[in-house]
Amino acid sequence: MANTREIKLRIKGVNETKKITKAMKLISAVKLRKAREMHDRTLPFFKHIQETMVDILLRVPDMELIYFDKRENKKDRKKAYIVLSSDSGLTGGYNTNITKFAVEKVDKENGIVFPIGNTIKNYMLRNEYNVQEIEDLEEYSVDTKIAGDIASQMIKMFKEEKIDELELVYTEMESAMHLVPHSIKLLPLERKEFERKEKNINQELEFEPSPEVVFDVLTSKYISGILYGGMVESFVSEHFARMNAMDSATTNAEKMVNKLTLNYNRARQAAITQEISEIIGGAANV
Amino acid sequence: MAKTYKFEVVTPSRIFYSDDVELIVFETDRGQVGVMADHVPMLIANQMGTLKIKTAKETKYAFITEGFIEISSDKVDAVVDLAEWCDEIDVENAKFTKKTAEEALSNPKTDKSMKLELRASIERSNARIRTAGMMRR
Repeated sequence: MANTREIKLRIKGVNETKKITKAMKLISAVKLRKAREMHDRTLPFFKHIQETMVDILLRVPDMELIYFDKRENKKDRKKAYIVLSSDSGLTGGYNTNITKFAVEKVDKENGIVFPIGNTIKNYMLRNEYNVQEIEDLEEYSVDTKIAGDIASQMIKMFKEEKIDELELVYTEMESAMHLVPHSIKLLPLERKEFERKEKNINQELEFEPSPEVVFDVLTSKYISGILYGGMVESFVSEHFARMNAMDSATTNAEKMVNKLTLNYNRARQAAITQEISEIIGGAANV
Repeated sequence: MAKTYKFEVVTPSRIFYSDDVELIVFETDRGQVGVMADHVPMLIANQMGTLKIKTAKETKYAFITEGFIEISSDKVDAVVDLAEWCDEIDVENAKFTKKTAEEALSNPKTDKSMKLELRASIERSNARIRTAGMMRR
């Protein structure tokens, strides 16, 4: 028969864990909401940038720009991936899914991985992928400035031909129940992304100092915009996954406490019954 | 009264300004550019610096970072990374940033890429301080 004291201790322990999981769930819920709000506020800015790029390309369609250069004939092209995961665990399947997806995508020989988040970084290092760190990323947070920093680093590397292609691997929340790993191409830019049929080009537009310079300014903002979008999606997914995981952990803890309480009561009763029968037995012997 | 047009300043964190204005003046690498109503449609890459907004009622100054100004036939949009009203600028902080950056710049140990960043930081602080000074005029 289990000791009542042991069971009591166990119940206390489970209750304490429950408090933690519950708190984590609440924190994730708040963070999720904040990230969503921030994302909604940023959207008009990046929409505007994309539309302007469309405008430029419509008027100057044959502009030769390095950003569109696919470098198809180059030998051993370097394909780079930015992979977004979380720093800490306890996120259900979130990290496992993104890692699996990244492993399928990345070519171990010629691929370069820029990891964001400890989980994916450690995995990639352990499995001897070609991992490169993004500079000045000690304090990562979902922030337009950080997205801008990463974007300018990547564009610089692209211009120096250290990388020839760049993809962003992140998790998207497709519906309330569905977190799906996704990848999106950042560089080189695809012309068809900027083609619009319904736009009229009757209106004249002048560029100061030149279309190339304006487009240059736009490109880095455009890429940082996509990057930021991916960062927000991943962040939202991470916290959604954590929220769910912690929610079921809390429910499980409740179930466990119920079961343990039942056991405790049984043990208590058994002890009392035993005591009574001992007393009665003792009394009969007198 | 001068003719007005719709002017909007869009930044990543918010829509900074949206109203009918008479005139805006901003800085480019070829000097200041002013835009009044019925301007030729144009896309201009602007430099970091002061943005002057004149409406029928008042004249306001703001600090904006580099981005671009899109002038279409019916409205004008400024798309920049950061915008601050001149009275929102923390001048003490800007001066402090400038001082520390200048000190670090004179340090021989600072490497090249760091220097570039420090110069940009000084430039930014200067533009901020300049813009904040506009208010008192």
